[in-house]
Formats: sequence, C-alpha cells, structure tokens
Amino acid sequence: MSGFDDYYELRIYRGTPGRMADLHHRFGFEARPLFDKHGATRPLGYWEGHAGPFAPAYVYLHRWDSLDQRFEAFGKFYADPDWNAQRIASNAGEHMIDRADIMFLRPSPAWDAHRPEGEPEPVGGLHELCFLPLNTQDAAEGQRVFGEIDLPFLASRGAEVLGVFQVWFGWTTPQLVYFLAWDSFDARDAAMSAYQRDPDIGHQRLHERQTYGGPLHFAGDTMLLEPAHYGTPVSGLAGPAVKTG
Amino acid sequence: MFFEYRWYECAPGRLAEEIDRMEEVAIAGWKGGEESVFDRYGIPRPIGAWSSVAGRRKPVFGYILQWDSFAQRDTAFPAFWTGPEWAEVRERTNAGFTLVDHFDNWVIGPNAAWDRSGGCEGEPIGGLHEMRIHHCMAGDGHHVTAYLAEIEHRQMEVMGGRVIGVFDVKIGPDIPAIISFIGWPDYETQQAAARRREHEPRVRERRRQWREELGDSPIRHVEQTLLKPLDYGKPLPNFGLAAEGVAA
Repeated sequence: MSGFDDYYELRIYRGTPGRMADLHHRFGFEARPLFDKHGATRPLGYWEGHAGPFAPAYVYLHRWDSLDQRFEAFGKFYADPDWNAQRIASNAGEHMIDRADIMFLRPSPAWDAHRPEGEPEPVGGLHELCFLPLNTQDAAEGQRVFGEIDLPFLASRGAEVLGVFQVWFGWTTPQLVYFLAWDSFDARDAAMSAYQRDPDIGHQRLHERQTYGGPLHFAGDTMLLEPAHYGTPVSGLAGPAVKTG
Repeated sequence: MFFEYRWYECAPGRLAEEIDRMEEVAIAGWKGGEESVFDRYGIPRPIGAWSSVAGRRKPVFGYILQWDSFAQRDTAFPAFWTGPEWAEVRERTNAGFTLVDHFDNWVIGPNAAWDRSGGCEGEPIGGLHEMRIHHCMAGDGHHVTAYLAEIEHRQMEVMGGRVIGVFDVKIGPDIPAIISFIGWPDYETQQAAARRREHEPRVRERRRQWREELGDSPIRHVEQTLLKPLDYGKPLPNFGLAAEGVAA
C-alpha cells in the first residue's frame, strides 16, 4: 500500500492535432531508455483522451519517492543531447504539444478505504479523470465526505477507484484529483444519472450548505480517457503500467 | 435575429433540480394549463438544452434561445424575471440555496461553415452531442471557418456525425471563437471519429499550409465538451433553422 509520503506527477498534454500517434511513440517507446538512464520512475499509466477540456489529450502519471529526485532526473533528461536530437527529429518541423499541464499530487485520505486487496491486475475499460475543487472552509471534511459518501455510491454502481489525490503543487488548491474506471460509457452514464438524482447524496449537499454556506466541493473539470495498450494502469496504481495489447 | 447561449454552472448536487426547474418554466403547461411560463411571457422555447458528460466545470446545464431582436429579448426576459410565477418557482425550487453558482450568456450567430442545405425537417436529434469551441487568432477566423467547412465537419459526417449547428461567438470571452455542435449516435462513434481524425492527411496538410502561409496555426486552442441532450431539449436538424431567410 502506498502511503501519504508518496508524490505523484500528473502530466496532461494537449496534443497538436494529428500528432497523437507520435506522442505515443515518443513517450511510450522512444524516450523511455533516456528516462530510465537518468533515474526517472516508470509511469503508472499512459492514457489518450478525446472527451473533455484537454482533448486531444495524452496523459501519464509518475510516482516519486522525493521531488528532489524527480527534479534531478528530469534535469538530466532535458540536458541530454540525445533527447534534444530525438525531439527535433520527431517534431519534424512542428511541435507535438500545444500545451502542457503538469501537477504534483499526494494521496488523499479519501483513497484509503478504496485501495484494492490482492494482486494488482491491469484495469481496462473507460477511465475518468476528474478535478474537484474543495471548499476552503473545511477541505479535510470535504475529502472525508468524498471518500465515505460519494465514492462508495459510485463504486456500488460500477466504478473502480484507481486513485484519489490532493493537489500539492501546480493547480488550484485545495482540490481533489481522482481516476475512476468503468466497464463502459453506458455504465458510467447510468451511474452518473443515478448520482445526480440520489436523495441521500442530495441530503448530504443540503447539510453542507446549511453548515458551511456552500457545498464542500465545487464544479470541476472532467475528462474521459482510454489507457494505452502499452501502458495500462494496474488496480490501485500499485505498480508501473503494464502492456495489455 | 440572434441566438443566446446560456451556460450554467450548477451548484454541486443540484443539476437535476435545475434541469427540472427549466422544464417547469419553459416547457410544461403552467398550473395545468396549455402554455408554459416562457410562452406566457413571449420567451421562445430552447432550440437545444443539454447537461455535460465530460468537460470544464461540471455539473453544467446549457441551452440556446433564438430571438427575433434584442428589443424582444429585453422586454420578455425582464418581465419574466419580475413576474409572480418565477418568484414562486425560484423560491420553492431553490429551497434556501441557489441552484446555480454562475452562468455565462453569450450572443452567437450562424457561422459561414454552417451548411443548412440539407434542411431542418426531421426528428429531434438525440444520442451524444459534441460541442467544440475553436478559439482563433484575431483576424484569422475565416481560415478556421474554411477548415471546418472543408475538412473537419466533412470528416465527422463521413464517420457518422451530424453537424447540428455552427456559430460565431459575437459577444463573449476569448473571441474570435466558433462553436460547432455535432450529433453522434453514441460515445464509441464519437471516439472512433476523433481517433481517425488524428490520421486524417487533409488535417496535416492544412496545418502545413497554415505554417507556410500564416507562419502559425490560426487556431489558438479548441475546447471540447461532450453533452447529453435533455429529453425536452433535443434539437431539430440544423436547430430548426431554414437555409434561407437568415439575417447576416
């Protein structure tokens, strides 16, 4: 089980149209030996997304023991002439990325009760990456409620919890960031429709408004993703991504 | 004639109530009568209404109105807002707290890439809708319009999509911007089309031409949202707008 001490790095690239295949090749294959050489961790998952505000999105997630180690590894990687040569050659006169959003995350206590037991298995299907800004009046309570009320509701309707994080650097805080997996789009759609009309969830939000003058979490961004065949995450993000295709 | 794009960020947990409230005032007969409250005040019924499936700042509820003039709009809406029906509905449905945190309202109008030659007859369009907002470099909107008409929308149609409407944002943030609404039978078809577009040689070729002729892409960024049309808000083909008689 991962602890609170872990750091995660979420990298969301908004691809230049037409370059998705090149992004897969670069980060999934070509640049990997250079990342390994300079001591970067193997990502826990690679995804492609064509639904939501970052589309077309190429996403991957690292876990780090220390952010100093992370900056050392990335520093060496960026300074490597082989990377520069690789980058110029594969860019082929056009950048592959329009924009990058990079953030450091740490596990949320809301994840604790949703860690899987047993051997990690690859998790396919439809993945969902959500951002959930928290009410600053009591961000800890917002995380508790999300873990104890909202997540169990979604899990009971088919969501597999891959990971629940809080923003540490690089994005609005306090904010939860979480990954869920669903069997299909229709399964998620049915669960979300039920969630939007569930009386118990509604009562919880009413209680929050009565207590805090507003809900404990606010409107957030949502994107739908598909794991890459060479970089499918395992349950609970318990280890590096695996090849499934 | 103009279109009003109204996009609501709902209070978390209250999207369903907002959807129901809109139905109560815009669509359903008021107190068992024939006409809705919107009808009574001369507010047109929405030509499309949605909730978001994936996108920015969920939960979102949005709809579009078509007005004859600003005078019509600015007579009808204020009368509705200050009328007894809305006061009653609003107080009852808010139940102590607002249903909506923020909303945007923009003025939008037909973009030249909107080809309505196929007509506006037919069944309302369900399935999954994709809204794409192309934010353009200032002065370069016409290059993006041409790209949408000649390449992107054609590719989507070949892959099973239907262009429901294309609008210029006339008054709104971060313009020039062009909004396309595409109807898909389901998520899988939309995803397959997006993946296929990544390999579409005409997209690559057009981007190469842009670099040569303009030095850069005329598209600054695209914001994409997946939407579910509401039962009472499924748009007609081409949003019910005939090809002729369109004010410039």
